[in-house]
Amino acid sequence: MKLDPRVKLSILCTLSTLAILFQNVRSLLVLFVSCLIILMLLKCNIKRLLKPFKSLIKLVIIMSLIQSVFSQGNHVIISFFNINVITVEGLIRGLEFFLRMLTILFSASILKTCSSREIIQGLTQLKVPYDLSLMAVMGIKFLPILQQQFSDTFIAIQLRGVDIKKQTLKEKVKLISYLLMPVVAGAIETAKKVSISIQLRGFRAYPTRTSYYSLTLNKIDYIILMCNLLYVALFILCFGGIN
Amino acid sequence: MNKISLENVSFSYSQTKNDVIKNLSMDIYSKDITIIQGANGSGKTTLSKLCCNIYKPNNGIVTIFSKDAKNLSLSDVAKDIYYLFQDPQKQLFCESVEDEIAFALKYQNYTLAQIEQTTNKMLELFNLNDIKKSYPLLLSGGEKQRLAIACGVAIKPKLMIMDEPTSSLDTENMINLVNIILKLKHDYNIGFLIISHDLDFINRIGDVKYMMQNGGVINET
Repeated sequence: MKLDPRVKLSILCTLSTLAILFQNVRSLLVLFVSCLIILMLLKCNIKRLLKPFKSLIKLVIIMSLIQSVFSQGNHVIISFFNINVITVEGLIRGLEFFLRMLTILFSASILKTCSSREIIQGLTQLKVPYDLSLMAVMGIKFLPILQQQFSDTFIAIQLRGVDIKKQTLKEKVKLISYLLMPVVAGAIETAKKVSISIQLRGFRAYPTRTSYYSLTLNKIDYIILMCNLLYVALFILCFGGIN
Repeated sequence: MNKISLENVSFSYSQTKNDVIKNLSMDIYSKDITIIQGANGSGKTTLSKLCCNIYKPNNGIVTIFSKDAKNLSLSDVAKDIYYLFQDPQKQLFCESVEDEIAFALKYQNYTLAQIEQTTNKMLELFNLNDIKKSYPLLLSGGEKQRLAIACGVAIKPKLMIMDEPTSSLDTENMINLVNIILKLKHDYNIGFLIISHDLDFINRIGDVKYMMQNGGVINET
């Protein structure tokens, strides 16, 4: 299904806002399932989408467990020396956190089905200043470059004979600090170069900007926008009183 | 044997893409200065990264100094091979030039006296003494490259792989690099695998030269 980027932005806003506002497992589960259905309708390869989130999902699971440990409740599952470690309420809190984060991460993936040019145009036609939308999209595009720089320095450290796995935790932390320096320096350097090259192409030279590319909403876009509004209304109606 | 062997090696960056290296077999000896030349996209850099286990082949066997590369970590490979990136900035991460040279030595059970002695020797050899307290990322292109090579020589590799080492050098610095390579081969017995398409540089150096095209070797001289 080919949708206008503005419609995708509105779906993203709906899902992520509802995921923040609603705090019970049932509503968050509905949101998460809706998000998965939308991704499937947009023909997203969920397996491929998950790849860059792999390490993030591990972090979300750990955070959920921590949430569970630190949330107190009366229904104790595990306790040590009269201290409640895991409770039913804690587990529910952890699950809520997990579902919320997953919904936000997955709904952000909806934008992956658009090109950066489409997102910029969508934001611009939504009256977001062009400078801001360009900067936001360029920031996203920067991430793989940073990742590559991290990976190169990591390889360089190992190719000097340092076996990172065999180091103590203290040494590992020290080695990570070595990784940061060239990455930050490289990022600043690249940002400077990009800034110069953008200006050399006449960016901000004139107050207005002509765009060859223009987005128009089709019938299907209006239908989806209406469905989106209906979804919000129904969601509030069904789960509004539960919190 | 002191060589890197590739037997019927194929490599692609992802399963859906075409092979960048196609069924390639060759030996690279650590006693030689081996040059790999070829046009952009011919697979030179990929080959160099396969030779030091940064990339693992999809098919075929890479043997690094008689050991199957599959069973080696990058730090194991570093005992025999040093890799110089096309952009040496990528491999400089310490706070000063002398720290940069001493970095690997600190992880190899050297005594403080040995670290100091080796560092001073490298600073002298690569003419880096005047800038030994400088921040590596602020050096000029030629200085960064000399420093990156010094870091490698300090850990005494048998073979040094250089990816397009002259890409950011002027003629004077290129000639300096040729002299450094010849000196290291003669005095330190280090072999070289150099990836380059700089004809001026290639004509001044090299015992064995290969020409690559479309992921395979088409010519050896």
